Amino acid sequence: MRILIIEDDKAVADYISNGFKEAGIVADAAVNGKDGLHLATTENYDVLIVDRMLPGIDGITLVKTLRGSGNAVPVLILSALGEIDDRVTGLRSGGDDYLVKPFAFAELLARVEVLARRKSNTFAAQTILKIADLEMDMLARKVVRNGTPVDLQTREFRLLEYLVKHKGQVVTRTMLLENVWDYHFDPQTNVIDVHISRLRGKINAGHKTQLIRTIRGAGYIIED
Amino acid sequence: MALATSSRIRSYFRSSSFQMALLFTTLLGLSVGILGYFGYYFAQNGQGLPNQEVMLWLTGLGIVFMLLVILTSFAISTFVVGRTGHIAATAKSIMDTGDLSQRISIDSRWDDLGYMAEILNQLLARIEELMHGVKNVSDNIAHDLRTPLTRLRNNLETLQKSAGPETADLCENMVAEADRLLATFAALLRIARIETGRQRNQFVPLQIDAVIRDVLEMYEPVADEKNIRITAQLEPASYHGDRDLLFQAFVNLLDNAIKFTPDGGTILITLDNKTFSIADSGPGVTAPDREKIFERFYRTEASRNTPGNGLGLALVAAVVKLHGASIGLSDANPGLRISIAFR
Ligand SMILES: Nc1ncnc2c1ncn2[C@@H]1O[C@H](COP(=O)(O)OP(=O)(O)OP(=O)(O)O)[C@@H](O)[C@H]1O
Ligand SMILES: [Mg+2]
Repeated sequence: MRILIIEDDKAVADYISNGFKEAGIVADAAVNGKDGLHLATTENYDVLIVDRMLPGIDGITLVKTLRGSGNAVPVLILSALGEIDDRVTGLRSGGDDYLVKPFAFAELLARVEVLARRKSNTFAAQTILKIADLEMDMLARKVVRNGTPVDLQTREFRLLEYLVKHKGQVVTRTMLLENVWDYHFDPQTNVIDVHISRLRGKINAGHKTQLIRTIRGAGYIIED
Repeated sequence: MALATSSRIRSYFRSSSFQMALLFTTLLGLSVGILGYFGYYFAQNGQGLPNQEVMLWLTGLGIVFMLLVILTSFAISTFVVGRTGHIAATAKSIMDTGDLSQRISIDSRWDDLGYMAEILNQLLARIEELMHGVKNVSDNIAHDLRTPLTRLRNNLETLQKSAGPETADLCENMVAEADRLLATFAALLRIARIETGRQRNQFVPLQIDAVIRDVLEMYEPVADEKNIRITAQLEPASYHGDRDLLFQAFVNLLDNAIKFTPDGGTILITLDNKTFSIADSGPGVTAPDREKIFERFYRTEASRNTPGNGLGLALVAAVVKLHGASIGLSDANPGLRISIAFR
Protein backbone atom coordinates (compact mmCIF):
# COMPACT_ATOMS: atom_id res chain seq x y z
CA MET A 1 0.00 0.00 0.00
CA ARG A 2 1.30 3.48 -0.90
CA ILE A 3 0.05 6.55 0.84
CA LEU A 4 0.51 10.28 0.34
CA ILE A 5 0.13 12.64 3.28
CA ILE A 6 -0.51 16.29 2.40
CA GLU A 7 -0.29 18.17 5.68
CA ASP A 8 1.47 21.40 6.61
CA ASP A 9 1.46 20.85 10.38
CA LYS A 10 4.73 19.04 10.93
CA ALA A 11 3.72 17.49 14.27
CA VAL A 12 0.63 15.91 12.74
CA ALA A 13 2.50 14.80 9.59
CA ASP A 14 5.24 13.15 11.67
CA TYR A 15 2.73 11.45 13.91
CA ILE A 16 0.99 9.95 10.89
CA SER A 17 4.22 9.00 9.08
CA ASN A 18 5.64 7.27 12.14
CA GLY A 19 2.42 5.40 12.67
CA PHE A 20 2.46 4.10 9.11
CA LYS A 21 6.14 3.21 9.34
CA GLU A 22 5.42 1.06 12.39
CA ALA A 23 2.55 -0.58 10.57
CA GLY A 24 4.95 -1.36 7.68
CA ILE A 25 3.29 1.01 5.24
CA VAL A 26 5.15 3.39 2.93
CA ALA A 27 4.01 6.98 3.16
CA ASP A 28 5.18 10.03 1.20
CA ALA A 29 4.61 13.51 2.51
CA ALA A 30 3.97 16.94 1.03
CA VAL A 31 3.79 20.14 3.08
CA ASN A 32 1.68 22.27 0.77
CA GLY A 33 -1.15 21.93 -1.72
CA LYS A 34 0.93 22.56 -4.82
CA ASP A 35 3.53 19.87 -4.11
CA GLY A 36 0.79 17.54 -2.95
CA LEU A 37 -1.21 17.97 -6.14
CA HIS A 38 1.92 17.43 -8.24
CA LEU A 39 2.78 14.18 -6.42
CA ALA A 40 -0.81 12.97 -6.50
CA THR A 41 -1.05 13.41 -10.27
CA THR A 42 2.36 12.00 -11.17
CA GLU A 43 2.62 9.05 -8.77
CA ASN A 44 0.35 6.15 -8.06
CA TYR A 45 -1.10 6.11 -4.57
CA ASP A 46 -3.68 3.89 -2.90
CA VAL A 47 -4.94 6.57 -0.54
CA LEU A 48 -4.39 10.31 -0.07
CA ILE A 49 -4.60 11.93 3.35
CA VAL A 50 -5.31 15.61 2.80
CA ASP A 51 -5.46 18.37 5.38
CA ARG A 52 -8.34 20.74 4.76
CA MET A 53 -6.37 23.90 5.45
CA LEU A 54 -3.17 24.07 3.44
CA PRO A 55 -0.96 26.92 2.31
CA GLY A 56 -1.34 27.64 -1.40
CA ILE A 57 -4.05 25.31 -2.66
CA ASP A 58 -6.38 24.26 0.16
CA GLY A 59 -7.48 20.67 0.64
CA ILE A 60 -10.98 21.07 -0.80
CA THR A 61 -9.71 22.72 -4.00
CA LEU A 62 -7.04 20.06 -4.31
CA VAL A 63 -9.58 17.25 -4.16
CA LYS A 64 -11.88 19.04 -6.60
CA THR A 65 -8.99 19.52 -9.03
CA LEU A 66 -8.07 15.84 -8.80
CA ARG A 67 -11.63 14.73 -9.38
CA GLY A 68 -12.01 17.21 -12.23
CA SER A 69 -9.10 15.59 -14.00
CA GLY A 70 -10.65 12.14 -13.62
CA ASN A 71 -8.42 10.94 -10.80
CA ALA A 72 -10.47 8.66 -8.53
CA VAL A 73 -7.86 7.85 -5.88
CA PRO A 74 -9.57 7.46 -2.44
CA VAL A 75 -9.13 10.62 -0.34
CA LEU A 76 -9.42 11.02 3.40
CA ILE A 77 -9.79 14.64 4.47
CA LEU A 78 -8.42 15.83 7.81
CA SER A 79 -9.89 18.86 9.50
CA ALA A 80 -9.15 20.75 12.68
CA LEU A 81 -12.54 22.36 12.87
CA GLY A 82 -14.93 19.50 13.22
CA GLU A 83 -18.05 21.34 12.30
CA ILE A 84 -20.72 19.22 10.73
CA ASP A 85 -21.03 21.41 7.65
CA ASP A 86 -17.28 21.02 7.17
CA ARG A 87 -17.87 17.34 6.80
CA VAL A 88 -20.54 17.97 4.25
CA THR A 89 -18.40 20.29 2.10
CA GLY A 90 -15.48 17.89 2.48
CA LEU A 91 -17.45 14.93 1.21
CA ARG A 92 -19.22 16.93 -1.47
CA SER A 93 -15.95 18.11 -2.94
CA GLY A 94 -15.08 14.49 -3.69
CA GLY A 95 -13.52 13.33 -0.42
CA ASP A 96 -14.31 9.72 0.50
CA ASP A 97 -13.94 9.97 4.24
CA TYR A 98 -13.51 12.68 6.80
CA LEU A 99 -11.65 12.70 10.09
CA VAL A 100 -11.53 15.46 12.67
CA LYS A 101 -8.29 16.38 14.38
CA PRO A 102 -7.25 15.35 16.96
CA PHE A 103 -7.64 11.67 16.22
CA ALA A 104 -6.05 8.47 17.42
CA PHE A 105 -3.76 6.85 14.88
CA ALA A 106 -5.71 3.61 15.18
CA GLU A 107 -8.80 5.44 13.90
CA LEU A 108 -6.91 6.82 10.90
CA LEU A 109 -5.27 3.51 10.09
CA ALA A 110 -8.56 1.63 10.17
CA ARG A 111 -10.16 4.15 7.83
CA VAL A 112 -7.21 4.20 5.43
CA GLU A 113 -7.23 0.42 5.18
CA VAL A 114 -10.92 0.39 4.40
CA LEU A 115 -10.43 3.05 1.71
CA ALA A 116 -7.43 1.26 0.17
CA ARG A 117 -9.30 -2.00 -0.13
CA ARG A 118 -12.50 -0.52 -1.41
CA LYS A 119 -11.37 -0.84 -5.00
CA SER A 120 -10.93 -4.59 -4.67
CA ASN A 121 -14.09 -5.02 -2.60
CA THR A 122 -16.45 -7.17 -4.60
CA PHE A 123 -19.16 -7.59 -2.00
CA ALA A 124 -21.56 -5.15 -3.59
CA ALA A 125 -22.87 -7.67 -6.09
CA GLN A 126 -22.86 -10.71 -3.83
CA THR A 127 -26.08 -12.06 -2.44
CA ILE A 128 -24.43 -14.47 -0.03
CA LEU A 129 -21.70 -13.24 2.33
CA LYS A 130 -19.53 -15.82 4.05
CA ILE A 131 -17.25 -15.64 7.04
CA ALA A 132 -15.85 -18.78 8.68
CA ASP A 133 -18.87 -21.06 9.13
CA LEU A 134 -21.37 -18.20 9.00
CA GLU A 135 -23.47 -17.26 6.00
CA MET A 136 -25.51 -14.14 5.39
CA ASP A 137 -28.24 -14.26 2.79
CA MET A 138 -28.55 -10.64 1.68
CA LEU A 139 -31.80 -11.15 -0.23
CA ALA A 140 -33.74 -13.16 2.30
CA ARG A 141 -32.03 -11.24 5.15
CA LYS A 142 -31.26 -14.53 6.92
CA VAL A 143 -28.18 -15.63 8.82
CA VAL A 144 -27.11 -19.25 9.25
CA ARG A 145 -24.17 -20.41 11.28
CA ASN A 146 -22.96 -23.97 10.81
CA GLY A 147 -26.43 -24.98 9.64
CA THR A 148 -28.26 -23.31 12.53
CA PRO A 149 -30.37 -20.22 11.77
CA VAL A 150 -29.53 -17.09 13.78
CA ASP A 151 -32.36 -14.70 14.44
CA LEU A 152 -31.14 -11.10 14.11
CA GLN A 153 -32.97 -7.79 14.27
CA THR A 154 -32.60 -5.31 11.40
CA ARG A 155 -29.87 -3.25 13.03
CA GLU A 156 -27.99 -6.32 14.22
CA PHE A 157 -28.09 -7.62 10.68
CA ARG A 158 -26.65 -4.36 9.33
CA LEU A 159 -23.97 -4.37 12.02
CA LEU A 160 -22.92 -7.89 11.10
CA GLU A 161 -23.09 -7.03 7.40
CA TYR A 162 -20.71 -4.10 7.86
CA LEU A 163 -18.27 -6.23 9.84
CA VAL A 164 -18.37 -9.07 7.31
CA LYS A 165 -17.98 -6.73 4.34
CA HIS A 166 -14.81 -5.48 6.00
CA LYS A 167 -13.61 -8.86 7.18
CA GLY A 168 -9.97 -8.95 8.19
CA GLN A 169 -10.04 -5.18 8.77
CA VAL A 170 -10.37 -3.32 12.02
CA VAL A 171 -13.54 -1.24 12.18
CA THR A 172 -13.72 1.46 14.82
CA ARG A 173 -16.70 2.42 16.94
CA THR A 174 -17.05 5.74 15.11
CA MET A 175 -17.05 3.96 11.76
CA LEU A 176 -19.88 1.76 12.99
CA LEU A 177 -21.83 4.77 14.28
CA GLU A 178 -21.48 6.60 10.99
CA ASN A 179 -22.13 3.67 8.70
CA VAL A 180 -24.55 1.42 10.53
CA TRP A 181 -26.58 4.10 12.31
CA ASP A 182 -26.06 7.00 9.95
CA TYR A 183 -25.94 9.70 12.61
CA HIS A 184 -22.99 11.92 13.43
CA PHE A 185 -22.99 12.36 17.14
CA ASP A 186 -21.18 11.69 20.39
CA PRO A 187 -22.72 8.60 21.98
CA GLN A 188 -21.96 9.53 25.65
CA THR A 189 -21.71 5.86 26.63
CA ASN A 190 -20.28 2.62 25.30
CA VAL A 191 -23.47 2.02 23.37
CA ILE A 192 -21.65 0.34 20.46
CA ASP A 193 -20.03 -2.16 22.82
CA VAL A 194 -23.45 -3.07 24.13
CA HIS A 195 -24.75 -3.73 20.61
CA ILE A 196 -21.66 -5.76 19.71
CA SER A 197 -21.98 -7.89 22.80
CA ARG A 198 -25.62 -8.58 21.94
CA LEU A 199 -24.66 -9.55 18.42
CA ARG A 200 -21.88 -11.75 19.72
CA GLY A 201 -24.27 -13.45 22.09
CA LYS A 202 -26.56 -14.33 19.19
CA ILE A 203 -24.03 -15.52 16.63
CA ASN A 204 -21.70 -17.29 19.04
CA ALA A 205 -24.29 -19.11 21.15
CA GLY A 206 -23.61 -22.87 20.97
CA HIS A 207 -20.50 -22.51 18.81
CA LYS A 208 -16.91 -23.25 19.69
CA THR A 209 -15.14 -20.49 17.78
CA GLN A 210 -16.00 -16.96 18.80
CA LEU A 211 -16.56 -14.55 15.93
CA ILE A 212 -15.91 -10.76 16.29
CA ARG A 213 -12.76 -9.97 18.21
CA THR A 214 -12.15 -6.78 20.16
CA ILE A 215 -8.96 -4.93 19.23
CA ARG A 216 -7.85 -2.97 22.26
CA GLY A 217 -7.76 0.77 21.75
CA ALA A 218 -9.09 0.48 18.20
CA GLY A 219 -12.33 -1.38 17.58
CA TYR A 220 -13.56 -4.72 16.30
CA ILE A 221 -12.59 -7.25 13.67
CA ILE A 222 -14.22 -10.29 12.16
CA GLU A 223 -11.95 -12.91 10.55
CA ASP A 224 -12.13 -16.23 8.79
CA MET B 1 -21.83 70.81 36.43
CA ALA B 2 -22.56 73.72 34.13
CA LEU B 3 -22.03 71.41 31.22
CA ALA B 4 -24.46 68.89 32.61
CA THR B 5 -27.06 71.58 33.17
CA SER B 6 -26.64 73.05 29.71
CA SER B 7 -26.84 69.62 28.11
CA ARG B 8 -29.91 68.91 30.18
CA ILE B 9 -31.48 72.11 28.89
CA ARG B 10 -30.47 71.29 25.37
CA SER B 11 -31.90 67.81 25.60
CA TYR B 12 -35.14 69.27 26.99
CA PHE B 13 -35.54 71.38 23.88
CA ARG B 14 -35.14 68.24 21.81
CA SER B 15 -37.57 66.17 23.84
CA SER B 16 -41.01 65.22 22.61
CA SER B 17 -42.56 66.55 25.86
CA PHE B 18 -41.10 69.92 25.01
CA GLN B 19 -42.42 69.70 21.51
CA MET B 20 -45.83 68.70 22.78
CA ALA B 21 -45.86 71.59 25.24
CA LEU B 22 -44.81 73.90 22.41
CA LEU B 23 -47.65 72.70 20.25
CA PHE B 24 -50.26 73.05 22.98
CA THR B 25 -49.09 76.53 23.84
CA THR B 26 -49.17 77.55 20.18
CA LEU B 27 -52.69 76.23 19.71
CA LEU B 28 -53.86 77.76 22.97
CA GLY B 29 -52.24 81.08 22.10
CA LEU B 30 -53.82 80.95 18.67
CA SER B 31 -57.33 80.33 20.04
CA VAL B 32 -57.00 83.01 22.71
CA GLY B 33 -55.67 85.39 20.08
CA ILE B 34 -58.55 84.74 17.69
CA LEU B 35 -61.16 85.04 20.44
CA GLY B 36 -59.50 88.25 21.64
CA TYR B 37 -59.52 89.64 18.11
CA PHE B 38 -63.24 88.97 17.75
CA GLY B 39 -63.94 90.58 21.14
CA TYR B 40 -61.86 93.62 20.13
CA TYR B 41 -63.66 93.80 16.75
CA PHE B 42 -67.13 93.83 18.32
CA ALA B 43 -66.13 96.29 20.99
CA GLN B 44 -64.76 98.61 18.28
CA ASN B 45 -68.02 98.57 16.37
CA GLY B 46 -69.76 99.59 19.58
CA GLN B 47 -72.15 96.74 19.44
CA GLY B 48 -71.40 95.59 22.98
CA LEU B 49 -71.95 91.89 23.21
CA PRO B 50 -71.93 90.05 19.89
CA ASN B 51 -75.20 88.73 18.58
CA GLN B 52 -76.31 85.09 18.59
CA GLU B 53 -74.92 84.27 15.14
CA VAL B 54 -71.45 85.43 15.99
CA MET B 55 -71.63 83.59 19.35
CA LEU B 56 -72.44 80.41 17.45
CA TRP B 57 -69.48 81.01 15.18
CA LEU B 58 -67.20 81.51 18.13
CA THR B 59 -68.44 78.35 19.85
CA GLY B 60 -67.97 76.37 16.64
CA LEU B 61 -64.48 77.75 16.25
CA GLY B 62 -63.68 76.87 19.87
CA ILE B 63 -64.87 73.30 19.33
CA VAL B 64 -62.83 72.98 16.16
CA PHE B 65 -59.71 74.16 17.96
CA MET B 66 -60.35 71.78 20.83
CA LEU B 67 -60.75 68.89 18.41
CA LEU B 68 -57.58 69.98 16.67
CA VAL B 69 -55.72 69.95 20.01
CA ILE B 70 -57.10 66.51 20.88
CA LEU B 71 -56.23 65.11 17.48
CA THR B 72 -52.70 66.47 17.52
CA SER B 73 -51.99 65.23 21.02
CA PHE B 74 -53.41 61.87 20.04
CA ALA B 75 -51.21 61.78 16.97
CA ILE B 76 -48.17 62.73 19.00
CA SER B 77 -48.85 60.14 21.68
CA THR B 78 -49.39 57.33 19.14
CA PHE B 79 -46.19 58.41 17.45
CA VAL B 80 -44.30 58.36 20.75
CA VAL B 81 -45.89 55.14 22.04
CA GLY B 82 -45.35 53.47 18.68
CA ARG B 83 -41.70 54.25 18.84
CA THR B 84 -41.14 53.29 22.45
CA GLY B 85 -43.07 50.13 21.58
CA HIS B 86 -40.67 49.52 18.73
CA ILE B 87 -37.69 49.96 21.07
CA ALA B 88 -39.24 47.54 23.59
CA ALA B 89 -40.02 45.00 20.85
CA THR B 90 -36.44 45.09 19.60
CA ALA B 91 -35.09 44.66 23.14
CA LYS B 92 -37.41 41.72 23.74
CA SER B 93 -36.47 40.08 20.47
CA ILE B 94 -32.80 40.43 21.39
CA MET B 95 -33.46 38.76 24.74
CA ASP B 96 -35.52 35.96 23.19
CA THR B 97 -33.20 35.10 20.34
CA GLY B 98 -29.94 36.15 21.95
CA ASP B 99 -29.07 37.76 18.66
CA LEU B 100 -27.11 40.82 19.66
CA SER B 101 -26.61 41.95 16.08
CA GLN B 102 -30.12 43.45 15.97
CA ARG B 103 -30.50 47.24 16.13
CA ILE B 104 -33.35 49.66 16.72
CA SER B 105 -34.19 51.35 13.44
CA ILE B 106 -33.80 55.11 13.77
CA ASP B 107 -36.23 57.22 11.72
CA SER B 108 -35.16 60.61 13.02
CA ARG B 109 -32.20 62.10 14.76
CA TRP B 110 -33.58 65.40 15.98
CA ASP B 111 -35.90 64.32 18.81
CA ASP B 112 -35.28 62.61 22.14
CA LEU B 113 -36.52 59.16 21.07
CA GLY B 114 -34.28 59.09 18.03
CA TYR B 115 -31.47 60.22 20.27
CA MET B 116 -32.26 57.48 22.81
CA ALA B 117 -32.43 54.86 20.05
CA GLU B 118 -29.05 55.97 18.83
CA ILE B 119 -27.51 55.69 22.31
CA LEU B 120 -29.16 52.27 22.84
CA ASN B 121 -27.73 51.08 19.53
CA GLN B 122 -24.29 52.19 20.60
CA LEU B 123 -24.80 50.30 23.85
CA LEU B 124 -25.85 47.19 21.94
CA ALA B 125 -22.82 47.43 19.70
CA ARG B 126 -20.60 47.64 22.77
CA ILE B 127 -22.27 44.64 24.43
CA GLU B 128 -21.98 42.66 21.22
CA GLU B 129 -18.30 43.49 21.01
CA LEU B 130 -17.72 42.39 24.61
CA MET B 131 -19.75 39.20 24.26
CA HIS B 132 -17.93 38.39 21.09
CA GLY B 133 -14.64 38.89 22.90
CA VAL B 134 -15.65 36.54 25.72
CA LYS B 135 -16.92 33.88 23.30
CA ASN B 136 -13.78 34.15 21.20
CA VAL B 137 -11.53 33.86 24.23
CA SER B 138 -13.21 30.72 25.56
CA ASP B 139 -13.43 29.29 22.06
CA ASN B 140 -9.78 29.97 21.49
CA ILE B 141 -8.77 28.50 24.83
CA ALA B 142 -10.54 25.27 24.02
CA HIS B 143 -9.17 25.36 20.49
CA ASP B 144 -5.59 26.25 21.37
CA LEU B 145 -5.31 23.82 24.25
CA ARG B 146 -6.35 21.01 21.97
CA THR B 147 -3.18 21.14 19.90
CA PRO B 148 -0.62 20.71 22.74
CA LEU B 149 -2.89 18.22 24.45
CA THR B 150 -3.07 16.17 21.26
CA ARG B 151 0.71 16.23 20.97
CA LEU B 152 0.99 15.06 24.58
CA ARG B 153 -1.50 12.30 23.95
CA ASN B 154 0.26 11.15 20.79
CA ASN B 155 3.67 11.12 22.49
CA LEU B 156 2.24 9.05 25.31
CA GLU B 157 0.90 6.62 22.77
CA THR B 158 4.35 6.33 21.18
CA LEU B 159 5.92 5.84 24.60
CA GLN B 160 3.41 3.13 25.39
CA LYS B 161 4.63 1.02 22.47
CA SER B 162 8.24 0.94 23.63
CA ALA B 163 7.53 0.69 27.37
CA GLY B 164 7.50 -2.35 29.64
CA PRO B 165 4.10 -3.81 30.59
CA GLU B 166 3.71 -1.78 33.80
CA THR B 167 4.58 1.58 32.23
CA ALA B 168 2.50 0.68 29.20
CA ASP B 169 -0.57 0.26 31.40
CA LEU B 170 0.11 3.61 32.99
CA CYS B 171 0.52 5.20 29.56
CA GLU B 172 -2.76 3.71 28.44
CA ASN B 173 -4.53 5.25 31.41
CA MET B 174 -2.97 8.61 30.67
CA VAL B 175 -3.94 8.40 27.01
CA ALA B 176 -7.50 7.64 28.08
CA GLU B 177 -7.44 10.61 30.46
CA ALA B 178 -6.15 12.89 27.68
CA ASP B 179 -8.89 11.58 25.40
CA ARG B 180 -11.50 12.50 27.99
CA LEU B 181 -10.08 16.02 28.24
CA LEU B 182 -10.06 16.34 24.47
CA ALA B 183 -13.65 15.14 24.36
CA THR B 184 -14.60 17.81 26.92
CA PHE B 185 -12.97 20.53 24.82
CA ALA B 186 -14.69 19.18 21.74
CA ALA B 187 -18.05 19.28 23.53
CA LEU B 188 -17.43 22.87 24.67
CA LEU B 189 -16.52 23.96 21.17
CA ARG B 190 -19.52 22.19 19.79
CA ILE B 191 -21.85 24.03 22.16
CA ALA B 192 -20.17 27.34 21.28
CA ARG B 193 -20.68 26.68 17.57
CA ILE B 194 -24.32 25.76 17.99
CA GLU B 195 -24.86 28.91 20.06
CA THR B 196 -23.50 31.16 17.35
CA GLY B 197 -26.33 29.77 15.22
CA ARG B 198 -24.07 29.03 12.31
CA GLN B 199 -25.36 25.50 12.02
CA ARG B 200 -28.83 26.41 10.86
CA ASN B 201 -27.84 25.63 7.27
CA GLN B 202 -28.08 21.94 8.15
CA PHE B 203 -31.84 22.15 8.63
CA VAL B 204 -33.87 19.62 6.65
CA PRO B 205 -37.46 18.42 6.74
CA LEU B 206 -37.67 15.45 9.13
CA GLN B 207 -39.96 13.44 11.39
CA ILE B 208 -39.21 14.05 15.06
CA ASP B 209 -40.85 10.75 15.97
CA ALA B 210 -38.54 8.89 13.59
CA VAL B 211 -35.45 10.46 15.13
CA ILE B 212 -36.66 9.54 18.61
CA ARG B 213 -37.37 6.00 17.46
CA ASP B 214 -33.80 5.71 16.21
CA VAL B 215 -32.50 6.95 19.57
CA LEU B 216 -34.66 4.41 21.37
CA GLU B 217 -33.54 1.58 19.14
CA MET B 218 -29.96 2.49 19.86
CA TYR B 219 -30.23 2.94 23.63
CA GLU B 220 -32.77 0.30 24.59
CA PRO B 221 -30.01 -2.33 25.02
CA VAL B 222 -28.22 0.07 27.40
CA ALA B 223 -31.40 0.45 29.45
CA ASP B 224 -31.88 -3.32 29.35
CA GLU B 225 -28.57 -3.78 31.10
CA LYS B 226 -29.99 -1.87 34.07
CA ASN B 227 -33.39 -3.53 33.76
CA ILE B 228 -34.96 -0.17 33.04
CA ARG B 229 -38.18 -0.34 31.07
CA ILE B 230 -38.76 2.38 28.49
CA THR B 231 -42.29 3.16 27.35
CA ALA B 232 -42.75 5.40 24.33
CA GLN B 233 -45.90 7.03 22.98
CA LEU B 234 -44.96 8.90 19.85
CA GLU B 235 -47.30 10.78 17.58
CA PRO B 236 -46.00 11.65 14.11
CA ALA B 237 -44.56 15.16 13.96
CA SER B 238 -43.11 16.78 10.85
CA TYR B 239 -40.45 19.36 11.52
CA HIS B 240 -37.67 21.39 10.00
CA GLY B 241 -34.44 20.89 11.91
CA ASP B 242 -30.94 19.50 12.21
CA ARG B 243 -31.18 15.72 12.27
CA ASP B 244 -27.83 15.01 13.91
CA LEU B 245 -28.22 17.70 16.56
CA LEU B 246 -31.76 16.62 17.47
CA PHE B 247 -30.55 13.04 17.69
CA GLN B 248 -27.71 14.20 19.95
CA ALA B 249 -30.09 16.17 22.18
CA PHE B 250 -32.44 13.20 22.62
CA VAL B 251 -29.45 10.94 23.26
CA ASN B 252 -28.18 13.27 26.00
CA LEU B 253 -31.59 13.33 27.67
CA LEU B 254 -32.08 9.57 27.48
CA ASP B 255 -28.50 8.99 28.62
CA ASN B 256 -29.20 11.09 31.73
CA ALA B 257 -32.47 9.29 32.40
CA ILE B 258 -30.79 5.87 32.17
CA LYS B 259 -27.77 7.02 34.16
CA PHE B 260 -29.66 8.57 37.08
CA THR B 261 -32.51 6.04 37.30
CA PRO B 262 -31.72 3.11 39.60
CA ASP B 263 -31.90 -0.51 38.41
CA GLY B 264 -35.40 -1.71 37.62
CA GLY B 265 -36.76 1.81 37.08
CA THR B 266 -38.99 3.13 34.31
CA ILE B 267 -38.72 5.85 31.68
CA LEU B 268 -41.69 7.33 29.86
CA ILE B 269 -41.18 9.16 26.58
CA THR B 270 -43.99 10.95 24.78
CA LEU B 271 -44.33 13.08 21.69
CA ASP B 272 -47.67 14.73 21.55
CA ASN B 273 -48.64 17.77 19.49
CA LYS B 274 -44.95 18.49 18.76
CA THR B 275 -44.17 18.44 22.47
CA PHE B 276 -41.53 15.96 23.55
CA SER B 277 -41.33 14.82 27.12
CA ILE B 278 -39.13 12.37 28.99
CA ALA B 279 -39.86 11.35 32.58
CA ASP B 280 -37.82 8.95 34.70
CA SER B 281 -38.27 7.29 38.05
CA GLY B 282 -34.90 8.44 39.39
CA PRO B 283 -34.14 10.83 42.25
CA GLY B 284 -35.18 13.95 40.29
CA VAL B 285 -33.71 17.40 40.72
CA THR B 286 -34.58 19.75 43.58
CA ALA B 287 -36.27 23.03 42.66
CA PRO B 288 -33.25 25.27 43.40
CA ASP B 289 -31.04 23.08 41.21
CA ARG B 290 -33.45 23.06 38.32
CA GLU B 291 -32.43 26.38 36.83
CA LYS B 292 -28.76 25.53 37.14
CA ILE B 293 -28.49 22.14 35.50
CA PHE B 294 -28.46 23.65 32.00
CA GLU B 295 -25.30 25.56 32.84
CA ARG B 296 -22.00 24.28 31.55
CA PHE B 297 -20.24 21.95 34.00
CA TYR B 298 -23.01 22.12 36.60
CA ARG B 299 -23.71 18.81 38.31
CA THR B 300 -25.83 18.40 41.43
CA GLU B 301 -24.25 17.31 44.69
CA ALA B 302 -26.09 13.98 44.47
CA SER B 303 -24.57 13.04 41.12
CA ARG B 304 -20.89 13.59 41.92
CA ASN B 305 -20.17 9.87 41.80
CA THR B 306 -21.78 9.20 38.42
CA PRO B 307 -19.63 9.62 35.30
CA GLY B 308 -19.99 12.77 33.20
CA ASN B 309 -18.85 16.36 33.24
CA GLY B 310 -22.03 18.38 33.12
CA LEU B 311 -22.08 19.39 29.47
CA GLY B 312 -24.90 17.15 28.24
CA LEU B 313 -27.77 19.44 29.16
CA ALA B 314 -25.90 22.59 28.11
CA LEU B 315 -25.77 21.10 24.64
CA VAL B 316 -29.46 20.18 24.81
CA ALA B 317 -30.27 23.79 25.73
CA ALA B 318 -28.20 25.09 22.82
CA VAL B 319 -29.89 22.73 20.35
CA VAL B 320 -33.34 23.67 21.66
CA LYS B 321 -32.55 27.37 21.28
CA LEU B 322 -31.15 26.88 17.79
CA HIS B 323 -34.49 25.35 16.81
CA GLY B 324 -36.49 28.14 18.43
CA ALA B 325 -38.09 25.57 20.74
CA SER B 326 -38.57 25.88 24.50
CA ILE B 327 -37.58 23.53 27.29
CA GLY B 328 -39.10 23.02 30.72
CA LEU B 329 -38.43 20.95 33.84
CA SER B 330 -41.00 19.53 36.19
CA ASP B 331 -41.46 16.94 38.88
CA ALA B 332 -42.34 13.44 37.64
CA ASN B 333 -43.04 12.18 41.20
CA PRO B 334 -40.52 10.79 41.72
CA GLY B 335 -37.92 11.62 39.13
CA LEU B 336 -37.42 14.35 36.61
CA ARG B 337 -39.53 15.30 33.63
CA ILE B 338 -38.02 17.36 30.83
CA SER B 339 -40.31 18.70 28.11
CA ILE B 340 -39.42 20.37 24.85
CA ALA B 341 -42.07 22.23 22.90
CA PHE B 342 -41.18 22.36 19.19
CA ARG B 343 -43.14 24.84 17.15
N1 LIG C 1 -32.77 12.56 34.68
C1 LIG C 1 -32.10 13.15 35.69
N2 LIG C 1 -32.33 12.80 36.97
C2 LIG C 1 -31.67 13.41 37.98
N3 LIG C 1 -30.73 14.35 37.80
C3 LIG C 1 -30.45 14.74 36.56
C4 LIG C 1 -31.11 14.16 35.42
N4 LIG C 1 -30.64 14.74 34.31
C5 LIG C 1 -29.70 15.62 34.72
N5 LIG C 1 -29.59 15.63 36.05
C6 LIG C 1 -28.68 16.49 36.83
O1 LIG C 1 -28.21 17.53 36.00
C7 LIG C 1 -26.79 17.51 35.93
C8 LIG C 1 -26.33 17.99 34.58
O2 LIG C 1 -26.69 17.04 33.56
P1 LIG C 1 -25.79 16.93 32.27
O3 LIG C 1 -26.39 15.94 31.35
O4 LIG C 1 -25.57 18.32 31.77
O5 LIG C 1 -24.40 16.42 32.84
P2 LIG C 1 -23.95 14.94 33.21
O6 LIG C 1 -24.94 13.94 32.76
O7 LIG C 1 -23.61 14.97 34.66
O8 LIG C 1 -22.62 14.81 32.37
P3 LIG C 1 -22.50 14.57 30.79
O9 LIG C 1 -23.87 14.73 30.21
O10 LIG C 1 -21.57 15.63 30.34
O11 LIG C 1 -21.99 13.20 30.64
C9 LIG C 1 -26.42 16.08 36.23
O12 LIG C 1 -25.12 15.97 36.72
C10 LIG C 1 -27.45 15.73 37.29
O13 LIG C 1 -27.05 16.25 38.55
MG1 LIG D 1 -25.67 13.97 30.74
